[in-house]
Amino acid sequence: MKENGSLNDRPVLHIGHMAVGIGAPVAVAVTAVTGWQAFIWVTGVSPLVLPSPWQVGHALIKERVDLVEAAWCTTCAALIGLAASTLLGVLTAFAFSQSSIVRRTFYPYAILLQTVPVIAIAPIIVISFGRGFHSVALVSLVISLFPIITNTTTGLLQIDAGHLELFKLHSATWWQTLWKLRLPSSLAYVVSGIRIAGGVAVVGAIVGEFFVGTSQPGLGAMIQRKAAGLAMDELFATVCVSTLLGVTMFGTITLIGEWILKRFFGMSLSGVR
Amino acid sequence: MVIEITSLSHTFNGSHEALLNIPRLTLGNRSFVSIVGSSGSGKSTLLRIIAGLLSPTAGHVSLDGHSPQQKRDAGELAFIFQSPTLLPWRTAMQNIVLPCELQGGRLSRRQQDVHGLLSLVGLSEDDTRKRPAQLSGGMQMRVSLARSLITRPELMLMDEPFAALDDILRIQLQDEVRRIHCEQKIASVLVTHNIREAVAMSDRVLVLGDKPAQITTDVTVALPAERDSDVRRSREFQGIVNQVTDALYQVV
Repeated sequence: MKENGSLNDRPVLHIGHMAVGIGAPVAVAVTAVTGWQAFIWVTGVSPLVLPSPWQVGHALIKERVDLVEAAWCTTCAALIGLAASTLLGVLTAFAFSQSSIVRRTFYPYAILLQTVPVIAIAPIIVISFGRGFHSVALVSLVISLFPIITNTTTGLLQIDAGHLELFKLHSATWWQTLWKLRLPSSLAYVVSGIRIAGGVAVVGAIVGEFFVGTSQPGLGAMIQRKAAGLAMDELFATVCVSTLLGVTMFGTITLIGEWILKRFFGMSLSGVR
Repeated sequence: MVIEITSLSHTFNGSHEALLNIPRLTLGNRSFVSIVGSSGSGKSTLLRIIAGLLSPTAGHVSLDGHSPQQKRDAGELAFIFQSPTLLPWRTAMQNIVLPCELQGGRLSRRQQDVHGLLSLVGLSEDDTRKRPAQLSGGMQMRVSLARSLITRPELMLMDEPFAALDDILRIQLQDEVRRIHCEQKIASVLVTHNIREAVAMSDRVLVLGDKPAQITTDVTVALPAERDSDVRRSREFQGIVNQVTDALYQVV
């Protein structure tokens, strides 16, 4: 007699969970906007200090062309920074995973990337490498590097002891253990690191644009211009787009990463959340 | 395959007390031997030393006059772990042929036998296309069993492989492993704390005493080679179970 019990026999899609996953954040947003509007009605605060949601919505529509152009520019800088930090971070993590001496020697310097504020790093980079798109991407790279290094290092080192014994039992070479065990095992951690880095890369690009100058297109420069002109509704609209960009980056990487893990590796991000 | 253990002693780092102390022991020669003992008595450590996964502090293990490493390299040694240890990103089939991939060309020929192997362990072609997460615990253990047999080993070492399974499934797999042992004539060593399991599967049961672990009792299981449910319910079976239980009580 054969035992059954395939987990795929059960429906994978839980509509109730999806409704909660999407509905709950939307409910929070609706409540926050309603509260915001109510606060303005009750206190009568000046639009120069706090614009209403309605005014911000109007500014979003009015400035849509500039906002889309600025968001695109910031996205490009963040994506280039993220791609570079992914490559550099994975290579660094690989070096860390191969030698405890290398790890102990250089890990404190990797932590520096996380502890030094981006607001301090950005002007140094802009002054050192000059004003321009490349400096913005560089700030984004530096600020998004740490999550990738730490997550990938953890993934490469946290290998199931039973799997390691299995490979030892079959006299696996160093290369086989790396290629057939360590790298696939660490994939969920790498994806988790990239999605955290994705949100951070957007912040890095925006802060970088602050220091590159207002002539540069991008959300950071746009925020600076709107703040200087006291255009509060437009400033709020730019901040909203910046926030949306960070969330979109995080969500898109999560969706693509989860799909790749599930489709090609039968794995999920849930273990490393 | 004959396993010869000589003057074996093992002490873990930081401990002054020897965990294992076995002056001389001969196992194998196509027989099924179980080692029973209390938790932490050193059963799994002994099995890992036989497999060459752990180097003993002192002493020597010889498998047909060769080192465990040499036998592992030749694919003649299989080890079934407590958990199935399947790679979650590989399908069942990819997990089964993993030893052949790792051990290179000299074992690639054996992949051709995979279809016969599937029927031997009770897996269908459809099962082999699934990933471990899509299989039940029992099916995962069958895949693990198929993986251990793909290299056509001469010695099969098992470290409490059925501990996590329910009673019915455990008995089914015990019977199947016993059948495979008889059909393939593989020397087998099982480590377990389940006395009925040890008696049901083995030709010989060794009782391991505590601190330092040593063989205190060697019980020959004089039962028919085929262990069906009638054998399990027989007076002789119960008598051997009682004998092993008494021996274990004396050392715990």
